[in-house]
Amino acid sequence: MLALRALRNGPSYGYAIGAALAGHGLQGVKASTLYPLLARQEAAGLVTAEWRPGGGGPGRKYFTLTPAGEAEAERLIHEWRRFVATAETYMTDGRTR
Amino acid sequence: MTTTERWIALFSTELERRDVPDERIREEVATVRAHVEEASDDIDAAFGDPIVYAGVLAGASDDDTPSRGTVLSLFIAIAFFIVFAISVVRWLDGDDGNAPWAILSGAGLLAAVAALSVSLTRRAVSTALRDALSRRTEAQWRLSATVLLLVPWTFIAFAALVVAVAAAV
Repeated sequence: MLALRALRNGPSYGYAIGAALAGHGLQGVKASTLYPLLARQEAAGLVTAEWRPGGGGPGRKYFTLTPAGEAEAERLIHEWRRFVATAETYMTDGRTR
Repeated sequence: MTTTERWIALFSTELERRDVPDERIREEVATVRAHVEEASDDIDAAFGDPIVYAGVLAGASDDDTPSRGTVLSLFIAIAFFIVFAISVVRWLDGDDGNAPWAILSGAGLLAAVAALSVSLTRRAVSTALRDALSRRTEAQWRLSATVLLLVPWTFIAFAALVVAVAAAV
């Protein structure tokens, strides 16, 4: 969900996605977790990938959200908010509704 | 060899062993290199164990499962062996009509055994490279490779035994 959310800001690549998450306090997303996740999302048609030349260094694999990825991101964010609201209610009231 | 290069050698060897296409291997290696260069990260800290990471990317945990080619070669070798044994015995008993079958199945048996050897050798060499890079003992590789190379040729030894017994009787 977080990777898809990061790509809603525009095409990006693995390291930049990890750095963006870390910049928002979400450290600890390892490369060994992020890249296989992006590969699965690519296989599922949620993102597309293309290699672009790097600035003097090796090329970078940029990922772009597809319309299906956009819809999946929206769905996951909605689910997350509902979960957080339910959990918050339980934390406050001590009971579920 | 630097830590990064050694990691990448292990990683690409493991992907190759898992029958990942060459183009995909090049892409995954390029991704790792690009990340390490930009992040200035220790490659082990970022990606963990290269064998495990290759397994995750390959999407399979069939580490010790023989490839389809190996299994197919084995079954073909068994089939040719059976046909050869039957036809050569009949031929040696004086039924010349079985001669073409004996010759054809004998040739097929040789081809199947050769294919089985190649298949097992590829696997053994691949594993050996991984082990060598992991600094395992060379003795382990030599023993396993020798056994693997000899196993398919037991078919030929048994076929020769069948011929010898049939000729003697």
